[in-house]
Amino acid sequence: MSAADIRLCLAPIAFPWDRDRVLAFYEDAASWPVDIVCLGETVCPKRSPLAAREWLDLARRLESAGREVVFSSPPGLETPGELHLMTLLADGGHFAVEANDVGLFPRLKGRVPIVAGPHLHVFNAATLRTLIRWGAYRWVAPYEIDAATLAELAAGLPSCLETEAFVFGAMPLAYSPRCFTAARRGRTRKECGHACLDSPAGESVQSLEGEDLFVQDGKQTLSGRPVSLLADLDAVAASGAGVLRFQPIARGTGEVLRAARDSLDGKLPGALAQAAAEAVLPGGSANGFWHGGAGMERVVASLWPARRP
Amino acid sequence: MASLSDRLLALRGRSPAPPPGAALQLTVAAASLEEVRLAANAGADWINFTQRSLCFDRRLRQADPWIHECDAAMGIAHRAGARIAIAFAARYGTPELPRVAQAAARLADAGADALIASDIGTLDLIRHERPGLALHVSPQASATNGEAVALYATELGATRVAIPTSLPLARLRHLLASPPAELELFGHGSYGAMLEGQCALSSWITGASVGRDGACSPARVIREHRGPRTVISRLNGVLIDARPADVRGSLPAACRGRFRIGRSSSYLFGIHRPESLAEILPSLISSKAVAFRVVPTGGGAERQRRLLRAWRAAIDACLADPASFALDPAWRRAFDEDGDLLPCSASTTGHR
Repeated sequence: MSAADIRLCLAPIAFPWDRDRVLAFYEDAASWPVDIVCLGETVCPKRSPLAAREWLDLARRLESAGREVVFSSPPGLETPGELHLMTLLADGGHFAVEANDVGLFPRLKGRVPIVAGPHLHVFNAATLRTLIRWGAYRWVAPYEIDAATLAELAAGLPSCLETEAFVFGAMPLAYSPRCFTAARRGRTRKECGHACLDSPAGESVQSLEGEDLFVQDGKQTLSGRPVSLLADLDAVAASGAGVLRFQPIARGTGEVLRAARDSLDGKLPGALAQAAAEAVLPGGSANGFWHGGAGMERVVASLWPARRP
Repeated sequence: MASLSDRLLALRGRSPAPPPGAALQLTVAAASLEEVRLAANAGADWINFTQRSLCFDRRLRQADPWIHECDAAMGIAHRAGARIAIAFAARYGTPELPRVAQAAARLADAGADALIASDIGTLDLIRHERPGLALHVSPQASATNGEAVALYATELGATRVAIPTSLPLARLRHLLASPPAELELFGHGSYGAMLEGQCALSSWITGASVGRDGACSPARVIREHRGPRTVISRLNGVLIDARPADVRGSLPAACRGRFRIGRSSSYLFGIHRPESLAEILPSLISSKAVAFRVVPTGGGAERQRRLLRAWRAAIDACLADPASFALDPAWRRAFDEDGDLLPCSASTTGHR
């Protein structure tokens, strides 16, 4: 696949944005060079900005604007209601579901197109074979995958399974059945008072020396520094990823998508695409996982190029 | 005539392990032969043995010490009438799978009662390599709902599914209502704050995670500086704790660190206090085939022995007479004693 055939995908919004902001974001997205849009509340079922019907209306609008729509599930689903919601959003198999919980496969298999989500943490071909058997047509590589492992996994795949890789944005690192935002305020998960909504960008978690480590948002913990592989998009594509995933950020998502598209189409050098990303990320970015190191590291690509297949 | 192991057990004053499928079993996690021995002597029904090489080294040559250690562990368990499950507790890469399959076959031939895995592909591989061998799904597989448990049971042939440690009690009750497979609940030990198999906090800071490497926050990147008044812990150079020298620290892991949000600092992910589900045993006795996993948090053989014996006694008392079951103060002391090794009394809203 040539770099120009690579498709761009918007990951679900990871943060507790309110309804108006979510709708405005996706209205803007209609003018961005994005091919696939993942929708849905992926952290806590209690804070979904839209009701199921509104999500479906939004999905239809995006679809008529020529986008492939996928509804992403949270990981670690707990109640039958949470599982059922994903069936509802699939709308009889019209929309695909990104399963981040294995419990979804039995109910979706054969009825709904399934994307195997990044939180299934797939690291070997035996798992991919099983996921194909369970109805997956695309898999999203775990966010912490490195270049060599991605290349090795994608190389052995049958054509019925597409590969998607994360290239930009705050990286969701961990989920807990516990809500740390509520706990910090002395509230239970049941009576949380939607404490997370007070921080639509999450809360920055620093070491005692002031180093940005994580972003805490309810049951979710994200990377304290966003990831950007904008300088390495050709290498990610060469590793076999046909779809590149971008996490929505507070401001500048569209600019980053345009830079990425231009870079893949050969109109913008990787270094300038990365510069465009850095322009909207004042705190800098990280790329350690891709280069096989600790995620928070920033590896200078020209000194330590990613291994190519 | 009673077998030798039955007679040995009778000498120690406890009945033989209940038959497979019986309700309320004691499962003890062990990571060394010494811990296997402690668990066996304390009357564990199952011992979950994590052998280093199976999860960390993964070279798994037929002549490696891992084979001898697993054989020895199986011997200790079986002589005491306990069953033993051996863990393949990592997400293996494709090149490692043939060695995993060979190792699984070798362990099955040598008498392992079950194998434990979390990765879908690894479970599938073992099932095909040794059909009929009991297969346990580890808590890292994130089976948080009944449909996930059912999938592991029907599609991958799992006989037992361990529920993630941090799932709230209300959700456990949900699952226990009609379990599609034997369930293994976290009974006692130190908590993981996150869904175990999906946590990348450690790999963000160190590059190593439980899922990929079998261990998070590995010892080789931990540095502890003990000054006269303060102790400072660093993980791959990142400061994760600073405390007065007379306060005991917890394991220097990414989720156990002291961090700052705004102007306040705290053990953000809290919950370092081991918790016990022992108190609610009677409410679980009616559930079908439940095992409790006890993970001693360290602190010497004597404490571990007391902890495990207390659990054995509590389960036996509950099986004998659930209606009048009450926690013996001595058992509670043994549970708490294991807990007081860890510093933070700050418990977040979780299990209860």
